Amino acid sequence: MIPFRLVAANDRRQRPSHKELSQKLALARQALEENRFRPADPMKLAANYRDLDLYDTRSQTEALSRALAEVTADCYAGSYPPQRSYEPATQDQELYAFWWQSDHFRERMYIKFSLCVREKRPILYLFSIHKSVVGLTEESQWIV
Amino acid sequence: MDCLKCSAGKLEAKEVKLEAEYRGEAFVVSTPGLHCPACNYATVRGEDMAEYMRRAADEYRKAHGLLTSDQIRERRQRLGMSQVEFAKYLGDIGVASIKRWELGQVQDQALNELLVLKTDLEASSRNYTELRERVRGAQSGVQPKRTIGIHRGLSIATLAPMAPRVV
Repeated sequence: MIPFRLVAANDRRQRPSHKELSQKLALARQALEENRFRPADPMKLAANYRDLDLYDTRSQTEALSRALAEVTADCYAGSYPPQRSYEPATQDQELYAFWWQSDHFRERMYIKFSLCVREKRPILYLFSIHKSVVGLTEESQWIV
Repeated sequence: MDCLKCSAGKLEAKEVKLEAEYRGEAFVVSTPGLHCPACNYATVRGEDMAEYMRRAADEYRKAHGLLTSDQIRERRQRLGMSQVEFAKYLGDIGVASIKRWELGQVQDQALNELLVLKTDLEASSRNYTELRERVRGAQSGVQPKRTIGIHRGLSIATLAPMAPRVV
């Protein structure tokens, strides 16, 4: 038996590759730094922020910045190839989901975003950021 | 910036109306955001999220007769207090609670009544009148015919240990 994620990550025909994910994360960090980020669905993201006790812009931005700094391509939790969005503003954009053990939040966390390029610059669309509802046992699924 | 929904219009920064939800209740809030004149799509920028959340919380507060974040801040400032001083004044509650209330977390009903009693002279006066009548009633065995003021919870809680034993 081989871990599902190991199979996916090692299969070079599958995308996103490790390199592509690293590039997406770099673009997400760049978009956030340049203040080019938006909620995909403000109502859902507001609920996420409230759960994380993030009520002001500074703490929200800092939390996102810390989250994106902690996440690596190894934390990818999406499918191969990535799923696509159904939200109006980001329809058909690829979704990048990650879960990771966060030092900042002191929790196992989950983040999902998409990236759009406009005027040669990335825009980060944040779908969700919350405590991971998937436990360690579920993450390491096995193919039987 | 191009609208990502229709790709025809340019997003403009303006006050937009958006759906919001707080504690399972739906509201429409007016908030700073982005609007596409071509397809009427509206959203907020990342940096507008806090304001959007605060306004959603305020809509909930208005619907439930609670002080809004602006009202709490105004009342504290009217008393010339910092958030730390105000937290102590309210009975040594955490200063983090004051900050959150002013930013957009909704205070519960009991703490809202405390806020009102400690910041509103008229409400405090009404509460005093009600309390006095209740004390008199308790001493004479006659309860007041009606509750005066809006702070019933706090007054009753204060009076509970003083009520005469019913045999």
